[in-house]
Amino acid sequence: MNFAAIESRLNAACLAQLANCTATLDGGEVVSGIFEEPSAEAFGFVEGGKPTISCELGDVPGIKRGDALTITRNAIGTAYLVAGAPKPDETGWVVIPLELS
Amino acid sequence: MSSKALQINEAMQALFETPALTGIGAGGVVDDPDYAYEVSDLPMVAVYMGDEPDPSRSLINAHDHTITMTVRITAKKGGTSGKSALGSCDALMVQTHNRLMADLTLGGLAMDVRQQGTRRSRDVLEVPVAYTEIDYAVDYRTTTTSLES
Repeated sequence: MNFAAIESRLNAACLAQLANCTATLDGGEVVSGIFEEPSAEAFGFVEGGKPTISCELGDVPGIKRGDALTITRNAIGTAYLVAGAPKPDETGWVVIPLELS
Repeated sequence: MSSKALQINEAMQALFETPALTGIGAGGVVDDPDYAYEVSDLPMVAVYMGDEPDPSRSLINAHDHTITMTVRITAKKGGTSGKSALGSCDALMVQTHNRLMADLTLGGLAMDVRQQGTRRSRDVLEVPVAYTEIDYAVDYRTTTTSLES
C-alpha cells in the first residue's frame, strides 16, 4: 500500500468519525464534511463567524469561489456560497471558506 | 443636566428614530458605536460625538463651539436587495443626511451643520459587512461658564 492510499484511508476514517454535516453541491452530489464556524469580529464591534467546511478534495472536484452549496446539519439545511479560494493541503484534504447565500 | 454636545447627539439620534428609517435593522439607531452588535442586527445607524477644538469668543459672555458628530451606517451584503455591503449602506446614508440637512439648527440647539469627510471600510464574517461614516461639524453656542446652554 503506498502512502497516498494510506492518507486516503485516514481521511475516510476521520470523516466517518468526525463528519458533522453533509454538503449538497450544485450538481446534486452529497458529500460528508466537517462544518466549523469559529467566532470572528469585524471593525471591533460587529460579531459573527467565519464558516468553513472541510472534506476530501476528491469529493469536490473543481469547486470554486461563488459555487452554491447547501450545508445540512441536524436535518436543517442552510444555503451557502463558496466565499474564497478552497484551500487544499497535501494530504487530500480541503478547507472551503463559506458565506451565507 | 447634560452638556449641549450631548443634547445635540440625542437630538440627532431622535431625528433618525422618528419616523423610523426605511430599511433599518433590528439594531436600530444607537449612540454607542462600540457595543457588540451581531450580523443579524444590521443594517443599523450609530450617532456619536467626536472632538471639539478650543471654543471661540466672538461674542461677549458666549463660547462658540464646533463639535464633530459622526453618523455611521453599518450594513451587510444584500441589506439592500442585490447590493454589496457598502452599497447596502447607501440608502440609510442618504436618508440620515437628508433629515439632517432639513433642519440645520437641530430644533434650535445648533447654529449650523456642515458635512465633512466620509470614511468607508469593509470586512467579511459569515457575510460581507461594511460601514460608511460621515462627519458633520455642528456649530453651537453656550455661555462662557456653562457647557449646557
